[in-house]
Amino acid sequence: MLLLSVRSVRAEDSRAGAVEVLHGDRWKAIPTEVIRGKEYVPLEQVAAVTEGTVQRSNGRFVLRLPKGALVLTENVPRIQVGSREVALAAPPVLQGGQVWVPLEVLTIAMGERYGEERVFWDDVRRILWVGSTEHTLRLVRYRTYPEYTRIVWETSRPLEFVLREDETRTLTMEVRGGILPPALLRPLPVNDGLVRGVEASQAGGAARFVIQTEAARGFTRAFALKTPDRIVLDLYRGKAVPSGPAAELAPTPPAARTPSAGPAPSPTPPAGPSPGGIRTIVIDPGHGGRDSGAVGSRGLKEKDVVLDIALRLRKLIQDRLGLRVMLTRSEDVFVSLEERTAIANRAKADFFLSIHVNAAPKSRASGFETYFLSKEPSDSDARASAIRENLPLTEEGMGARGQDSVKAILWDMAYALYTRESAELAGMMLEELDKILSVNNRGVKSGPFFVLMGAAMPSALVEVAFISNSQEERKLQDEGYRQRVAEALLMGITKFRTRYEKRLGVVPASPPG
Amino acid sequence: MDLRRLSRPAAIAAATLALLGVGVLLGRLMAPSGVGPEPPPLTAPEPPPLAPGESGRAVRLFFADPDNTALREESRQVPQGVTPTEEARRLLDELIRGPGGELAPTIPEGARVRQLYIDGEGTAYVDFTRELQANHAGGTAGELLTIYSIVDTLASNLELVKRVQLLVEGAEITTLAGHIDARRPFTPRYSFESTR
Repeated sequence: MLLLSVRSVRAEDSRAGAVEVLHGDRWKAIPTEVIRGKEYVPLEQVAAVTEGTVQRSNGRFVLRLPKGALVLTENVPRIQVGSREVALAAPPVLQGGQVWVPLEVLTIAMGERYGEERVFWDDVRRILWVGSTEHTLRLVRYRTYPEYTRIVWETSRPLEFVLREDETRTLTMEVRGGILPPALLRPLPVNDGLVRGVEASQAGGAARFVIQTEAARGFTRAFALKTPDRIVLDLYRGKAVPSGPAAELAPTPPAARTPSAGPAPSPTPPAGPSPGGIRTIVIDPGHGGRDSGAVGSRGLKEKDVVLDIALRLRKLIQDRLGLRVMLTRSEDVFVSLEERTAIANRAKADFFLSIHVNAAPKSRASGFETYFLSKEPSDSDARASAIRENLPLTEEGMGARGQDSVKAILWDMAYALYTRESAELAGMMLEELDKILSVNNRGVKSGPFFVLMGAAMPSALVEVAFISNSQEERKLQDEGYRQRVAEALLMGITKFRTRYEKRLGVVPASPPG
Repeated sequence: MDLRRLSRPAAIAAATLALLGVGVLLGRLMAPSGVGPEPPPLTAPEPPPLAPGESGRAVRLFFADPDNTALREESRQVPQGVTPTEEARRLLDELIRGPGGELAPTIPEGARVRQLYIDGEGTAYVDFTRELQANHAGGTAGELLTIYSIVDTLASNLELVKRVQLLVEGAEITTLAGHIDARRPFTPRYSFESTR
């Protein structure tokens, strides 16, 4: 069952008013009306495009299709599709003697009637269309990001493409073997300050898309992604170049740009342990900036405590071990979780240690614990992953999901490679904290940590104390205690390094001084 | 956002999420002038209307132990729901109400369930109000307990539920309190001891 994108429509939204349904070469406009903030269509019109009939009795509306039926109830926001029941954004209502149903009922009914895999919704042009197997191009969509505009072509199978660009404001994307359905022949207006619009034409066995941009266009890159098969074109604004997590998908090298197809450009798989032993450590003081983390009853903030401990630890490592230390933040600023491991990956760190302070309200919890990354069992559940890859939940929809799946494979590899070391690192941190701090040892645990997930290296997270416990909060306020915590972490790191390098057969460099 | 080819379960899930307000949210992102509909007024869950003589169902609720190291079960009678969705809501309302004995609550103050949907693949999509995130005390221990008290309570009482996807105000969240990845469904976990 299909459906989707029931974009909220305001009464004054000029977009409300009609949607078009295209089946074969027949177009049909269906009037829509905004009722209590939701866009509705008459159920009779839904029946008309699905070869169905409507039966009404006692507030129940049955849309009988040639095969199967949909059952709705007046003022109940649910729909029965075969044996399944699905929630609706809004309930069916009677108005002017007609049954009105939320717009998604149209897509549900069309999907049920013609097969959900054949029904597509073009949200920009508001066309719901039934595809046929000959049409290898299925959707063209775009999304505007601060630094770039991404245009995505979804295809029924991997198709070769050629991007032609020069110094003019026009780029041409030619998709070989791309057969356009009528709905995609209409121009796609973008007008986001970078891209004006995309015009499509069929040139024999290839589909040609002419992309008009503003003068200030910068770097561009085009690549293919799978599940579903699609071609992605990123157009950067002005001098902007790919950065951050998005840059993990390397830009297509110019040589590969024409013609190119097949799998997405893969980031380099995480490298194995560095042959020379441990050289670089990234320490991650949790939270920061607008994210205070946990806050104690005396007002002590996790973000301040962990930053102080991290700064102390950095100094200890530099002085006593002579290793390179990078902090993900060295002041009170907000850093996203993705960025934290990205910093470590860019620094080619040998391991990543995230420092946190725990909290548990309405509990007497106290002590320290350490964690390493374990994945949710569902992560390896192919079905579940198929679902989530298809969930159009990210800002630009499925595209980013597909990228995620590419990354997921790499992180699977990294995970297998580093889990053992990570568990060991977490264990050693715990042991040393236990030796130095005379508080409750809560053990080594594991969980699907967002902040550890992207680390292409062994990693661990330590929760040094409970800020929600007033005694521990008082301890954390004491500089001497924070120094002892840092010392304990240093001992853990030292131990880990020794064991790690012994395993690698590396003779550790003598510490300076 | 657009409608496109989706597998049946994915489409149902997507549809539901859209209905739960993700569509609204994305619509808002894409069209800054768009205004989402007003959320329905939320009231605190009422005690279960267990009428005299009505048959209840013994359920297992998962709360935190006093040290917040693990989840512990508490048994309770709740009225039999008609649909799994209704049962799930009742379970969560009980979880929100909190433990009766010495155990500690896991759901932040003021958090309520906005929407709940179970798809054909056994994933329950539970959409909470913003308090689940806003009023969370933080800390990994508390975050794990909140997440898995919800997941374990649903999965251990409802055979249909195999995993749980958490949403807040209709939208996917990256984490609840800054540590645990909440972008994908959670499967039940009755212990946090390290597993590899």
